[in-house]
Order: sequence, then C-alpha cells, then structure tokens
Amino acid sequence: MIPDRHGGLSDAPDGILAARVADGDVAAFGVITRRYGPLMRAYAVRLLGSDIESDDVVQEAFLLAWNRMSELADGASVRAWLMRIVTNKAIDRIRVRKQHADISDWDAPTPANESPAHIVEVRMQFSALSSAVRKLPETQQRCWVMREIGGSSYSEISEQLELPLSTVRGQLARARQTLVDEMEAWR
Amino acid sequence: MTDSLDPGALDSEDLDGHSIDELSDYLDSGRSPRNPDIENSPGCQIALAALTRLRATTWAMLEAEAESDPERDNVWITRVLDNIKREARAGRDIPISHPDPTVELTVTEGSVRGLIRAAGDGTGGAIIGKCVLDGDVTVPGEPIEVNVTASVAWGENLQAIAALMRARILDDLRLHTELNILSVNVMIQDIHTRHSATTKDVQ
Amino acid sequence: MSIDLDLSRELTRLVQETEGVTDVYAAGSLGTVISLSAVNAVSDSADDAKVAVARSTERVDIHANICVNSSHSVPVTLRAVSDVIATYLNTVGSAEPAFISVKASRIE
Repeated sequence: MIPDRHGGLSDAPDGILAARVADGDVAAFGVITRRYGPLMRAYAVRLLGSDIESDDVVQEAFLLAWNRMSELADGASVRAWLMRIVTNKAIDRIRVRKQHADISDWDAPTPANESPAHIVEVRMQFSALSSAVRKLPETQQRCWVMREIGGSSYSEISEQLELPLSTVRGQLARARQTLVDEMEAWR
Repeated sequence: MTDSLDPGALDSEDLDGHSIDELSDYLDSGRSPRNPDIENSPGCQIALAALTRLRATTWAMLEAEAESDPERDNVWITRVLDNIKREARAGRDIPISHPDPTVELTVTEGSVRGLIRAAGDGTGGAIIGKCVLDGDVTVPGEPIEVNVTASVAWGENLQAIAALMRARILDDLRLHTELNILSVNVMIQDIHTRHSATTKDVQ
Repeated sequence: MSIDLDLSRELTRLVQETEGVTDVYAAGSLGTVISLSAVNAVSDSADDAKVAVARSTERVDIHANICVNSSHSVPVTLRAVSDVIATYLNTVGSAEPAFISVKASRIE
C-alpha cells in the first residue's frame, strides 16, 4: 500500500519547482519566492546598500524570473540563476543612481539583527566578516559581492561596473586578501 | 588601500609563485583538473583553506542576514504573486465536443496541466515536475502522449508509485477531457527527503 | 449597449450558479470572439458583468471563462454552462443567431 502525503510542495527540489513554474504553476513559484526571496534581498542590500530599494529589486527580479523560467536550462542552479537576475536589476539601479547623484548617496548596509542572545561564536564570525566587508572601499566591495555571492564572472563584473578587467582582478585580489586576513585573525 | 598586498595568511611569498586570484579560480573550478603544483604547496594549501572558510562564512553570513521576517516577506510575496497570476500560462485550447455547431467548448492546456499535477501530487509523497502533452491537443481524437517528471520521497517503491500515478492521471484525464490518451509516462527525476530542499544544499 | 451590459450581468449570475462552476473570470482577452465585432463589446467594464457579449448586425457572440470544481466533470460543466446561456437567450429572444463559447481556464 502506498501512503499518500500531501502538502509536500515546500519540500520539492528546485528543479521540480522550476519545471512547474515553467508550466504555469503559481503555487510552485510561491515556494521559490519564499525559499530564495530573503537571500536575494540580503544580496541586494549588500550590492545597493539600501534596504528600501532592495525590496523593489527583488520584486522586479521575481517578475522577470516568472516570465523567463522556461529559459532556465534543466539541472541548472535556480539559486545562481536568481542571484544573477538580482545582479542585473541592482546594477541597473546603480547606473541610474550614478547619473543622478554622487557617490556619497551610498549608505552603509544595515547590520544584521544582532540581539545579545544571538551572539555566539559563529555569529561573531559573521559580524566580523560583515563589518570587514563593509569597511572595504565601495568598488572592492561591489566586485567581491558580485563575484562571491552573485556568481558573476570577471568579465561580467567588468562590463557591468564599467571597469577594465585588470582593475576588477586587482580589486578582487585586494578584497580577498583583506577579508581572509580579517577572518584568520578570528581563528 | 595600498597597492601591495599586506602580509598575512595569504602572504604571496608563501604561495610558491601562485596568486590569490589563481587560487580563487582554482577553487571555483572545484580543484579540477587537479594542479599538483598547488596541491603540494603547503602555503597554497593554507591559503585555499582560508579562502574556503571565507566562502563558507560568506554564505552563512548572508543566510543570517536573510533570516526571514515572515510578515514583511508575506507582503511582497503576495504582491509578486498577484502580479503574475494575471498572465498565467494558458497554453493551447483543447476542444470539448458539443452537438450544436454554434457552441464552442474548450478547456485550456494550462488547466489540464494543473489537473495532472493535482492528480499525481501526493502519491506516496511524490511531487510532479514538468508536464507535457505531446501531440496536437487542438484536434479532437488525435493521439496524445502525456509525459511527466516527478520527485519521489526517499524510501518509496518507485515502480509502484509510478504505476499508481499513471492510473490516477489517466482517470482524471478521462473524467475531465476528451483527449485520446495513448500513454502516460512518468519519469522519476529526483528523490527528496522532508525539508531536504533548503538553500544550504544548493551550495 | 446598456441592454448588453444587463444581459452580461444576468448571464454572469446564471453561469456562477451553475453546478460545478466555482468562479467566472472577466473575459479580458477575447481574441477571435471580440474581433468579430469590436462594436458594442461589453466585458470587464463592470465587476458583475464578466460574461462577454459582442454584437454585430448578423450575430451575437457570448463568451464565458470559468473555473471548474475538480469534483465535477469539466465537459459536463461546460455543457451545462452553455445550456444555461442558450436557454436564457431563448427566453429573452434575439433577432440575431447566437454563438456561445465557454472556456475552462482553471480546474481546482
């Protein structure tokens, strides 16, 4: 006898959900938005340094994702794909901002919620990394966040931030050096 | 920021001629193909370990920052879903017969796919993935093949589940459509465990 | 125009009450039905007038877009809806021949 168990959509693997979304299943898309929305927003906040704009970016990203889900190749990582869309949407905003305002417009990202109960060692490591990332110069920070979280290639970063490839490499090398040093000091 | 790299865990002198850049790329490639030069250098090993830890901490940090705020999430998720429902994929129009030629009855392909998903979901904890109606569904009587993929709960009898799923899908298609179903093919694509699909296991 | 709006309202009510129908959707994109006669088309202009009525000199087109309860057979429900519409059109009487199309856009 095979038992029936319903309500399992929230446990479904990404690939299955993506296939359903491509077929028009709104419920499956809801599961994906819940699964990755908060992560995408955290990434957008890191890229944009703005909490309000990041909400808009994530919403725009999901609307695009809904329309394009069928283009996602079988077996590809849904998360990486979504992060890439967030990158593009966030970069659009950064470009617009560049035209309208000077660099001082960039606010430092809000620190993660840090209640005393949460301060355990692992957490302190995040905080250490978090503040180390925040202390990086803006371009280094953006390059690093796009590379390590957004999964962008060197040439994509170069194109999107309108920087020479060699600069991107240099910025990334410096960011990595600084962050590793800071993190190792914690060990 | 200075142009020269600060001495530290990734002191370039210890990297036996390799750069951080190179080591990061090597890590990105999953350390494949294996580079014996890097693998045999103690300095590189230390640097690789440090970069790996940095990467793991980065994602852990992001996940901590992403700790969901259910109320706030509900607001924008609802907004997103409301916006997309309006243009849900209807697909082709599948005819339903009527003796009067001035009456035209149809059921959309999208709603039939929803029907198939609902019929197959839950069979032994299975979840339907992709669902394709192969053949010209717009022409009455055309032979149609139904192809679905599914993810099945860990530890279940795959053959039995696939058979039961086929039967259920076929029953529902017969009740709700006039399609000439040649076969229903179930391809088990994944095995899932409860709560297996979190952001962590995509890492 | 207002006659067709009233007709649409009445048909929407009747379709909604048909067994197996859980919802009636506004026939927003009518495609061929509306393009036959862009004149006098009544559709999503009112919340309670969701069944589209499109009239030309030689015919009247009625289009209903519905959601069917999965415990009811879709073909049976579609036929019941078209019958309800045809019966009503017969009782009110119409000079032009009527063409009825009913679509199930969702089964739940």
